Amino acid sequence: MIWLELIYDLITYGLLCYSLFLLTGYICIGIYSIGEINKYLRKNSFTNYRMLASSNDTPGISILAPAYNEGANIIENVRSLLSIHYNNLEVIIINDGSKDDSIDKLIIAYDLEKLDYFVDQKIDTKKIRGIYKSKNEIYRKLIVVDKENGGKADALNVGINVSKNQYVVCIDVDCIIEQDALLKLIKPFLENTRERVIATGGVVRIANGCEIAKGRLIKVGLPYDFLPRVQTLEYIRAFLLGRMAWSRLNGLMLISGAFGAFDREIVIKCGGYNHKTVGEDMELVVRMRRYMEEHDLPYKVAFIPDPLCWTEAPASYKILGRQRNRWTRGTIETLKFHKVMFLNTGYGVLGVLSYPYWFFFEFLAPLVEFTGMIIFIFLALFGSINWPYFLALLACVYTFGVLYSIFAILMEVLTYNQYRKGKDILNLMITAFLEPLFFHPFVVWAAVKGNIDYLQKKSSWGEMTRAGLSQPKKT
Amino acid sequence: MLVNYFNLSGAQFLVGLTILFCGFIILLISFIAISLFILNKRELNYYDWKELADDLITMAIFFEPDELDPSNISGVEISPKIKELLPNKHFRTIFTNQLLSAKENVTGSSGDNLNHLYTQLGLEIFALKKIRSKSWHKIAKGIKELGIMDLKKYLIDIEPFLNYKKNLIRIEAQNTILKFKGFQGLRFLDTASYPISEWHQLKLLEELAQLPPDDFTGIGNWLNSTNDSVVLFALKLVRNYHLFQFHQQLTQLFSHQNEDIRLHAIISIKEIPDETTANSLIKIYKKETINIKLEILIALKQLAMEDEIPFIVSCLDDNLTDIKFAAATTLYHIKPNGFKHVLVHSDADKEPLVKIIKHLQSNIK
Repeated sequence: MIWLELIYDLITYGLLCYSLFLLTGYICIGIYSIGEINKYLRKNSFTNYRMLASSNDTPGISILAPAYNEGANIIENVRSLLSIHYNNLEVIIINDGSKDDSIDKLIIAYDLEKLDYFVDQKIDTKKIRGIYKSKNEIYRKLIVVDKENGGKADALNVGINVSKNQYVVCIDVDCIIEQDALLKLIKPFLENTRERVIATGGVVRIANGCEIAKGRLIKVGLPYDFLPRVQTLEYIRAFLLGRMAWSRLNGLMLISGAFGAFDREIVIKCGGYNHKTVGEDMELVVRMRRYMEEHDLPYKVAFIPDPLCWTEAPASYKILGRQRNRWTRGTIETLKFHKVMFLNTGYGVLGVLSYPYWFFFEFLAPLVEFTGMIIFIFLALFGSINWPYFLALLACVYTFGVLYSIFAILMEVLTYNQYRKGKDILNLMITAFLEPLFFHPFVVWAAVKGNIDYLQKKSSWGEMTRAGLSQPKKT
Repeated sequence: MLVNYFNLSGAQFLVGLTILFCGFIILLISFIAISLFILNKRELNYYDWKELADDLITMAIFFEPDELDPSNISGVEISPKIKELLPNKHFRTIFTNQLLSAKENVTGSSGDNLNHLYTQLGLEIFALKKIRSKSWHKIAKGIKELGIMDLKKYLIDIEPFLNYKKNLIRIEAQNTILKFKGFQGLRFLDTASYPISEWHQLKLLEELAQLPPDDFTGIGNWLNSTNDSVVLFALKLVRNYHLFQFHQQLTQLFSHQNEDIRLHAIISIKEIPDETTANSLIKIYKKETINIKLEILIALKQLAMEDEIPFIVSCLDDNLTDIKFAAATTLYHIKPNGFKHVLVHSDADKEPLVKIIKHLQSNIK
């Protein structure tokens, strides 16, 4: 039975090689990001953001905040956006056909009146029911658009059509943004002289466990519950290590949909957000990059390691599963739409590094892990497991996973040190040991389900019920 | 046998890796613990040290020198504790930051007192050390410090960095020279070979806003610079300070090969127009890009008279909605007859013009 042994060896060493490939990738990313964070922090210490906020020579910014059934907190959230200090700013709230009383609440709270506002339909969208502005001069920066339901991508496209400014900042209306976050996000557009910055993004952090009042972050805290806490660790790892390294390589393929800024002209030239995918944030960045590559225009997608935006993480496995399922489908759809770039040197770093990374590490990794598990069960049933080898591989992968998380925690302590208490850091370290056992398998399963749903052509977002951020937290 | 041999070897390799990873985990955890300990200790000291610094700075701000003998500038009394702490790098950093921040917010004799305190404590020596270091952020910090403290005697130490290859050092040096010399400090633009980012231009404009607007020499040269960013900055100066004497040069820039410069020349000329400006803009309109066409129509909102109305009305026939909208908006602002031309246009009852008219009639700001 030589051929059986051959298949067995192929699978075994194939998995080993894939694991080593993955580990090497992570090590490179981790190391590569350190220098970039260091450089950013040193450079940032010279920046006076107050100057940017009060200057009359700054470019115009339009904040686009789509809202669907956000009636419970919409007034507070809009107030928080209106309190951003920037001279040349408009805040566009897009009510995406909410079934609740969001629009009525906004009309009353901000003294809105419906206007014959002209909108050039540069990007095709669902019908606009009405555009409102406030009669009160204090709220002159506010524009509220009421439209038929068409999903987040469609709502953002309406916002892009309505906006008049050079840069659009897309934000989830329920996100809490830091003081100066907008200014930090806009700075890279003004700083670069060699290439055109087409998009910028910043670090998103988990707000569960934080003290929040009137739409403002008062005190940072580590979530008490396991699921949000493990996502806190996951976000630190992904944003502080992963994206920073990709930014340094100018290979970023994703700006978080929760808070990102874009060059409006390029967005429109690319046709805006694609409403045929559930991963519209990633797809837009990839399409913008592809456009710049195909037109041979020098460009950059910038990333800021500062925590700019705080969002509520799913606190139940059910909601988390839906979120990860959607992320997986979004990734597959984006990779499929732009498959021409795969290992295509004509697309530079994007084709040779970023796309293959997303394909092999983000899309394929859960499938390989799941397949490995199936093969393991199959071999175990037939008593063909080489137990010493299996246990050694398991221990190696586990310890590496923990090591990478601990490294991310160290970077967090040495840079932003948001969770100052020793107890919080200890909790994060314990979480690093528990994550591979209790969280990672679930995420893999959700990704596999995402693949199945994709094959079954399911395209729903999935209900994302949130507990809300203003309620008191356990400590 | 061979397979078994490899399996065993593979397992051993993995065990080795696992042990290595475990070692790194222990090392990193220890590093985290030590870092947290140091950071927490530093944070505890921070508030005490900041208070010490603030007390001394406040004393210095309100210090009144001997009126009978102004040459006696011995300054405020330095407590032994501060003298003892001054060699500590972290204390010095906290103190210097507080002092710089205070200096940026006070002027007159209070500012002079802070300058005196700075030299009295010998902090300029550390700033000079920074300038002479090899680390780019330290050099930039040193230059910035000397600039804020207005230590003009070190001008000679800063000037070599004016066209330095490292971005941040160059920016800090240029800002500092501006602080020292006022508008004359902008002469570095004569030879600037590196591009000046929009961000830096904002900083320079902000610095200039603090100075009395005079001594605008050099702008004529900068408008002809081969460094496009210098031309763009000069255009902003012309615009912000309404420098009518450069009107002719701005008109010449309408034919510059850089689209951005042409665009900014149009934006700027709006602020220094003469009776021929509207006509000059109309002449270049046809061969321009869409962005510049839009900017011309926006400029005409301020500049156009009855004579320009036929041209703007013709823009209503453009296929691009943006142009239609801009032309209609411009006509709306030409009083008293401009908007009538939109209302009687042959497409006035068709989309998109009908909606544009409603928008304008709503008087949306």
